[in-house]
Amino acid sequence: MHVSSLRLSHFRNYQSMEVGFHPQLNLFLGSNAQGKTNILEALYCLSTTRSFRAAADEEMIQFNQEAGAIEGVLQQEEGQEQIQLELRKEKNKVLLVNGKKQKKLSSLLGRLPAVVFSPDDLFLVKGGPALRRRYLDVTILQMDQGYLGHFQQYERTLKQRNSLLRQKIPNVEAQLVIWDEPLAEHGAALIIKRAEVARRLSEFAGQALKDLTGGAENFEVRYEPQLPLENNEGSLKERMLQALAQARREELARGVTVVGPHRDDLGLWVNGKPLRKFGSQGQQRTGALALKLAQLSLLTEGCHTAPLVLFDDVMAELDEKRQAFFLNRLQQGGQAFLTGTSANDFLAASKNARIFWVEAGQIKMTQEGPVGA
Amino acid sequence: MAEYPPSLERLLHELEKLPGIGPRTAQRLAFHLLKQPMETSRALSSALVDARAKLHPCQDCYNLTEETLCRICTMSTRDKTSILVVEDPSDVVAFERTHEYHGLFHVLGGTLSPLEGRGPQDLTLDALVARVKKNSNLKEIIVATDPTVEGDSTALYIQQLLKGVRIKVTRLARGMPSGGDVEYADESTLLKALEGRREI
Ligand SMILES: Nc1ncnc2c1ncn2[C@@H]1O[C@H](COP(=O)(O)OP(=O)(O)OP(=O)(O)O)[C@@H](O)[C@H]1O
Ligand SMILES: [Mg+2]
Ligand SMILES: [Zn+2]
Repeated sequence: MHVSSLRLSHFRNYQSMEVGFHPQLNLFLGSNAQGKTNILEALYCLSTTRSFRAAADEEMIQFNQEAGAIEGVLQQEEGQEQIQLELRKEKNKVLLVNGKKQKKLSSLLGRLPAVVFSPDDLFLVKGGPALRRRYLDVTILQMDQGYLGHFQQYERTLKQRNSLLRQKIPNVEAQLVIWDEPLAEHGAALIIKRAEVARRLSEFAGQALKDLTGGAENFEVRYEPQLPLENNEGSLKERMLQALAQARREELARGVTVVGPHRDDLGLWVNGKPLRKFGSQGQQRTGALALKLAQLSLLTEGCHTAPLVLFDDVMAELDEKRQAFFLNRLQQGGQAFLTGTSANDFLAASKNARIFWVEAGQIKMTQEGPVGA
Repeated sequence: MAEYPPSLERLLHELEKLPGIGPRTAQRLAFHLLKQPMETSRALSSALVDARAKLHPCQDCYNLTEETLCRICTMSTRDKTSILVVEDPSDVVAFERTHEYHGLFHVLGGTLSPLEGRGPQDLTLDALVARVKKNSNLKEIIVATDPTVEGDSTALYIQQLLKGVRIKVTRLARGMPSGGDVEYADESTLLKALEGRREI
C-alpha cells in the first residue's frame, strides 16, 4: 500500500495544493521555513489523526482560516481508498473515508502505519518518561486494536479520579474507591501489553544499534513499571488495587493519582548503564535512531502493510555510511518521505525517487530519477 | 457573513444551543419554520412550554410524568420485586420497547462524573436507598447505566451503598459495545444484556 496523492487546503502554510507521490521514495528539498515538514505532518495526521509535533489540531489550520483539510488517496491491491481529515476551529475534527463520515476518529488507526524520524528523537533518550511512554503507546496503538479500548478507558478513569482528588471533598473515600477498579483493570492491561511489546522492541533495537555502529555495544530496552511485574493480568490488577489502597493518604494529600502506568518508564540501557545518564552525545543520538528503527521493524512485523517512513531533516545529520545504510533500509520497506535543505543530503540515494522543490507553501518543481543527476 | 435581522439571529442562537444542532441545521430549521404558517410556530412553542410546565419527575422513580406518580409506578400489574436503575428517562423508553421487563424503574439523572462536577448528591441516590429500605418485597436491583467508565463506576457505587441491605444487585451483561449508550441500543441487544445480567 502507498499514498498516491495528497491534497491540502488551508493546512499550515499551504493554501491549496495537490501532489502525486512516488510509490517508494519521495524527497522534499527547499530552504528553511518553506513547508517541507508540514507535508510530513499532514501525512502523519492521515496515519494517526494527530501531529507528531506537540501541536494542537487548531495550530495546523492556516492562519486566519476557520477550517483546513488533508486528503490522501491510498493505493492498495484491492483498489483505492480516500481518506479525508477536516480540521475545524474550536470543534472536533472530522474523518471521512471514501466520502463517508466515520463515527470514530480512531477507526483510522492502523490503516496506514507510520514512523517519523526527526532531530527531536534525541529527546526520547534525553527527555522525560512521558515521551518514551508516548513512543511505546503510539507503536502499540497502530498494531493492536484491543489496546485502544484499555488506553482510552484508562485515560478517562485517570482524569475522573484526578478531578475528584483535586476537589478535596471531605470523606471522599467511598467516591474514590469506585475509580480504583477501572484504573486497576485497564492499568494492568496496559502494563502487560507494554512490557510484552518492549521485549520485542528491545530485540529489534539491539540489532539496529549493531547495524548502525558495527560495534558490540549491548542495547537493551526495558519496560520499567513502578509496580513489580506479574505475567498475569488478574494478579497485576490485585497488586495495583493494593498499591492504590496503600497510597490513599498520599493521593489525598497531593490531590493526584500516584499509582499506575501513567508513571511508568521505558528504560534504555547500553552495556548495563542508563543511556540517559552516561551516554555521550553521539551514543544518545545513535540510541534514538535505533529506537526508531526498532519501531519501524516492529510495525513492519505487526501491521498488515509496511509503514510509511517520514524522515524529517535527519539525513544531513548522518555521515555517508549511515546515509547509505538508511537509504538501503528504506528501499526494502514501504513508501518513504524525506526532507532536506540540499540535494547533497541525498547523494547516496541512487535509486529512483521523485524529488520535489518546496517554496513558500508551494511545490515549485518535480523531477523523477536518480538524485544528483 | 450575512447579517441577520435581530429576531432571526435570536432564533438561530437558541436553536444552536440544542444538542446535535450546528449552525447549518439551525439555519435549515429556522428557514423551514419561517416558511410555514404562523400556526405551526404557535403550535410548536406552546407544545414546548406546555411540556416543560406539566412534566416533572415521578415522586417514586424520577421518570417524567404529569402526575405525582408516573404510569409505570401506578400500574398494579408491574412486578414490584425488581427495580431497574437507568441514567435518563429516555432509557426507560428503551427498556419499555423490549416488552420483556415488567418491574419498576429508577432514574438516576446521569452518572457520577467528577470532571463534570456531578457527585452522589446530584443524582437520585438517596431516594433509591430510601425506596429499597421501604419496599420489603424487593428482591433485585438491576443497574443498567451505560457501559462506560462512568456507568460502571456508578454501578459500583450503588452496589456499595446497598451493601448493608440484603438484596441482590446485578449489572447488565457486557452485550453492548463498551462506550455504548442504552438509549440507542436496539431491543434485542438490550434484551440479551438484561438476560445475561450478573451480580456485582
Ligand atoms: N498555521 C499556519 N498557518 C500558516 N503558516 C504556518 C502555520 N504554521 C506554520 N506555518 C508556516 O510554515 C512554515 C514552516 O513550515 P515547515 O515547518 O514545513 O518548514 P520547513 O520547510 O520544514 O523548514 P525547516 O527546513 O526549517 O525545517 C513557517 O514559515 C511557518 O510560519
Ligand atoms: Mg522542517
Ligand atoms: Zn415512577
